[in-house]
Amino acid sequence: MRKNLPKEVSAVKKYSNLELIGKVDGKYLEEVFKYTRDGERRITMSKRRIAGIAVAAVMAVVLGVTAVAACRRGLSTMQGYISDREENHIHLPEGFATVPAEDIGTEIEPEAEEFLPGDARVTGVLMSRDAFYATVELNVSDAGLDDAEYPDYFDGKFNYGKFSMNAVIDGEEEMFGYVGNAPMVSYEDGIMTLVMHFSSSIPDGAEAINVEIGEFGYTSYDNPPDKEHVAVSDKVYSFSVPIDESSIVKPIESVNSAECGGVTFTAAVDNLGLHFYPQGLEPTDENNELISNIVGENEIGIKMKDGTEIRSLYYRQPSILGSGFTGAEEVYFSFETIVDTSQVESLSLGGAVFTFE
Amino acid sequence: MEDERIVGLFFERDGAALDEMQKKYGALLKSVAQKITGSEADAEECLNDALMNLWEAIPPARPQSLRAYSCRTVRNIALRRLTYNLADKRSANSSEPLDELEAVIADKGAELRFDDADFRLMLEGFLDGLSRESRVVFMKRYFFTDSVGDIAKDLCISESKVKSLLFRARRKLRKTVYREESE
Repeated sequence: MRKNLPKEVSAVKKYSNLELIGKVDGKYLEEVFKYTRDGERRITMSKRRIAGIAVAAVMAVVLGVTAVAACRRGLSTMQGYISDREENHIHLPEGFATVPAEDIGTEIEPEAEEFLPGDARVTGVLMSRDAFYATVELNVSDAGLDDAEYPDYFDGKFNYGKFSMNAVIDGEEEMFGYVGNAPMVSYEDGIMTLVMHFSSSIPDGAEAINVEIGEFGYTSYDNPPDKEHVAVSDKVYSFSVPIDESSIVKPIESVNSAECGGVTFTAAVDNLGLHFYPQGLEPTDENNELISNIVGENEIGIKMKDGTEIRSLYYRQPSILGSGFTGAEEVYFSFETIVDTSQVESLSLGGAVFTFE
Repeated sequence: MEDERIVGLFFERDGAALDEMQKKYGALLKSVAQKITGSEADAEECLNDALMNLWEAIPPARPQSLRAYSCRTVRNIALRRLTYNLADKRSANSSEPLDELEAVIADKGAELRFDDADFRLMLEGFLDGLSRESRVVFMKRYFFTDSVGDIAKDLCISESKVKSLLFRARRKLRKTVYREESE
């Protein structure tokens, strides 16, 4: 029995046992090398989240929300929409607009006098500590896209491309985000509007984010269940988004605390996600498991001032919720779309309700 | 120099193989060793020992991934160095990651009865069942003994997320170990 061994001998036995970890196949080590900064870092959007955003784009057109026009005015307007899956079928109200980039202090590239074929421009950016969301316009009028195929493109299929994000730190570039696709919100007269959204922390000290996006194609499902990538353009577009502290959205804290599962929480919300903060718990394995179970067993809800309410069980039917993490120090989930925090009345975790001023 | 050419130098018994290994992977291998031993001097010795081990092993070994093979070699040497230091109280290095993992697979009265091959199969099955991100975090913590802070920084995720991923992975590993043991 290990616990009865003298301390020094038990240490020897412990480490010799754990040498076994080192015997795993080299492919697992290679994966680490490729995944981290020595190779490529991949931020994977869940397919459901992509579908949710693409469907949101469809709804924006169906309900007449002028996403394209809004983008051209420098606003990022996304219709919040819960995808039509099983029980969660709630539409946020029309005109559910995001906070314009200029109102949160994000400096974006000044609009060029001319927006030429091959140019890209950022029309709205929101960043929090843990998520990044931007709408981008690309002038692809020289990419050979056939307007007649527009309905197919807009159906969320036209979503394959190179998409990397590099943080500029002390003048050097460091890739911190890579998404395999950026769903298209709209396409009109050679101008494609895309959404870039992922949950990842902006590296500390980043002065700007340089983005490369392009090499578009789409996924063809003409021969189900097989799918085929069809390349359309080999062009790559690049642009830069300067960052300063004022451009990072800060969470708004709840005015109250509340109890769920025997634990007291406070809450906070920002445009890109929600936070629950367990109170008085050390980050031990047991407490992490406790919080993970509480979150898994209780619905997470967001209620707007107009009465609209959305509830989601993260582990069953992700809808408003994208990726996140749970632990004894913080529960965080990013939203699938942008939320106007000024319109948020409350968050809830099971029966615990957290209100905001 | 490409790995294939370096392996070729080993096969030709050309000492330049070690120079090229030092040049290409020296910093990585030393880093792996230093995280375990906690000492730069010990890490240097481990690196030298690892290079000698590689010289003796290749040929006949022809590793598919020279980087992974050499990391594994230096890691084992570093672990043995650590146990030597601990046995003689030469090191105060506590090696948190190894303690965390030991707590997961430590028995509650029953000894683990795996042999190396069984444990490897079980562990690889467990790793295959993790998401890619979880698997990378797990390997960085328990193979490379990276700190939580370093993992968070390397992967640009929060430390809370790293801890959460590790916690869930360890929980799953524990279930895997006890399920295998009871079969």
